Amino acid sequence: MNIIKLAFAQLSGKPLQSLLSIALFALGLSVVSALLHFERQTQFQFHNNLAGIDLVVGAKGSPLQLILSSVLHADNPTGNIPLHEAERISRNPMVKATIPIALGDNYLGYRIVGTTLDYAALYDAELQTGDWYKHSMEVVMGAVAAQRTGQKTSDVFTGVHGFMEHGHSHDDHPYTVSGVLKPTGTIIDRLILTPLESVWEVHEHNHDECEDPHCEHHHEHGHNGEKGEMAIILEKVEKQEDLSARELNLYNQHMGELSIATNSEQEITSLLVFYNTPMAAVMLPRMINDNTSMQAASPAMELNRLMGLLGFGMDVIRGLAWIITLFSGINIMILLWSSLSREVHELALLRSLGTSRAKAFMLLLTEGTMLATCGWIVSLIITRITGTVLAANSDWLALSAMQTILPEEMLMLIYAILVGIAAALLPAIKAYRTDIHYLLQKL
Amino acid sequence: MIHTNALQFKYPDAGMLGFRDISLLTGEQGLIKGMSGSGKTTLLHLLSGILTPESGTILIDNVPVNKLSGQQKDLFRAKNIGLIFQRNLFIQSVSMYQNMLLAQGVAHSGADKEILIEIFEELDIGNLSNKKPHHLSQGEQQRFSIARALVNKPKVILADEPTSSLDNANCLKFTQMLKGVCEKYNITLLIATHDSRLEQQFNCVIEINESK
Repeated sequence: MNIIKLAFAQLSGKPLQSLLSIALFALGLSVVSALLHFERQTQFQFHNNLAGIDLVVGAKGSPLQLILSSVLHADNPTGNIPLHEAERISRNPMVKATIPIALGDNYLGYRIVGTTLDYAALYDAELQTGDWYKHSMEVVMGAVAAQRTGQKTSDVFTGVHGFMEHGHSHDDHPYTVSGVLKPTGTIIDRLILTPLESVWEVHEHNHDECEDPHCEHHHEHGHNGEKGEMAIILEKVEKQEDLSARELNLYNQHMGELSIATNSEQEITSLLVFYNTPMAAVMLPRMINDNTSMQAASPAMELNRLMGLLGFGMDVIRGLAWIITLFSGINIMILLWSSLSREVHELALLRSLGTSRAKAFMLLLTEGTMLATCGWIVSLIITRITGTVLAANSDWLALSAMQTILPEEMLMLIYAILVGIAAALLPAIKAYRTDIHYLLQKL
Repeated sequence: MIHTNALQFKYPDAGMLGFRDISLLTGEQGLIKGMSGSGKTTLLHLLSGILTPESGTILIDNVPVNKLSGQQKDLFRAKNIGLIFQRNLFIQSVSMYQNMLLAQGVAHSGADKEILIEIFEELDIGNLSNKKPHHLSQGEQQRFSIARALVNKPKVILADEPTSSLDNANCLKFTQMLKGVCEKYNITLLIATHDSRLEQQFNCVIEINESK
């Protein structure tokens, strides 16, 4: 029997106390480890979801809300902006590229985002099945959205107005799934992408239903047969006359081609802007905020602000976790000390059998280290189980990220072993100094 | 096998204690007699290297035990001296069999299962070896104490008041058993006791008190 076996036997000889020590230690480490994972996940999510977006332009309101709604898709939009105003920003020489975002509907809680295919390219999304959308009212579904809603290529569904799962359903405007994306680990997994025109089409018809008198002019177009309408549209195009949104949609559908219309009535929710020059970071936001009815917000800045707010709370929890760990270390020390006091005759026996002082010292250290290491392993198991359960119930957590052991967790193992050694040090010194003659004489 | 010469021990907070010279040949069986507190345990601990004498020499198997370093003493004790205590001491968390293996492990001699089986048979405790200490009676534990003293094939067995808690019948049985195995394996036996029941069974009786 070597020291490790004996240490294990000594600890398993008092299972309740040992398990309590391990559990308490594991609890402290689990909280630290869960925080590490949370921070890593949020940073990972933020970093990936920002995808190099320099600026978001939307309706005036809270800048944080604008970022949350248009980049992370976690909040309601601040409002809409006219497309032609957004277009002017796109034409600014300091702007390299823009991607429009039009929100409005959801399907079973997953947002239907009107945008261009540039948005999919932004997140390096690739098709799993099917094809990219070519026409209005076609959608490409993110991996998670497809999986959770059970939609497949060429399935048909109708969106619900707003961002709640239940609400007014656009029954007369069914979407057709043209394709499903591969998982990317980014926000796009939880989105349903569609051409901007789809969003306009669905909501234009919403206006049709309203009783507001000035909406009525839409009806003229709305009730014409599509074939006849197409002829009129084509005629208009030839004469280079302006088209209404619906006409443009039908035209685009007909041509199998998409383009952002410059019709003054069309609105989008926000515009994602990519800079051409670092100068833009200074000039562009001020220009937009001062001179237009829109606001510009930097995702990086807003999310840093958000993390700053979250950070304080996390620091407090982290502090608590370290305190729990400290006390569980003291608990290990008390366990070792009190069992050494109770089993001091066993120690005297070991020594009189010829176990050296150094080995008696090591035995106690081994027991302490063993408890702490078990605590660390249990904390890994706890966080993995919790992570798996959370990931199964949440779209926001990526399961794969929970399955690796973070470098910080390896550091925690070293910390755990150090705590184990520190906790065992006093009892070990006591064991080292034990006067076996005195103990055996008093038998 | 055991020779001491002008052995003196100084208690940390008391006076000096001198011991009468002892000389036991290989296989001889002796008794150290003396009142409680007369220094019997101290003498055994000096012989086994648990304590270090102030002056004088101890030769066990021609090795000057008092000249060894702390660690050498520990190893010498593990390999050459079997100890039997007044109370039955075992590691409570492991089985009797593992207690025996532990004693072998301490002596770095590696597990020798054959001798364990032989000793268990000799003492008729083979069927108990998988039990934990607290599941055994005092008598059974005592037999395991003898077994543990034997597992490293020691040259000497030192027993400290082994019979003080036994009734007459068990006292006789225990002594016979101990003497028997020591004869069989040619081990030098030295028992320290104030138990007068043992006297008639030993030829060599050393009174400790005289030289105090």
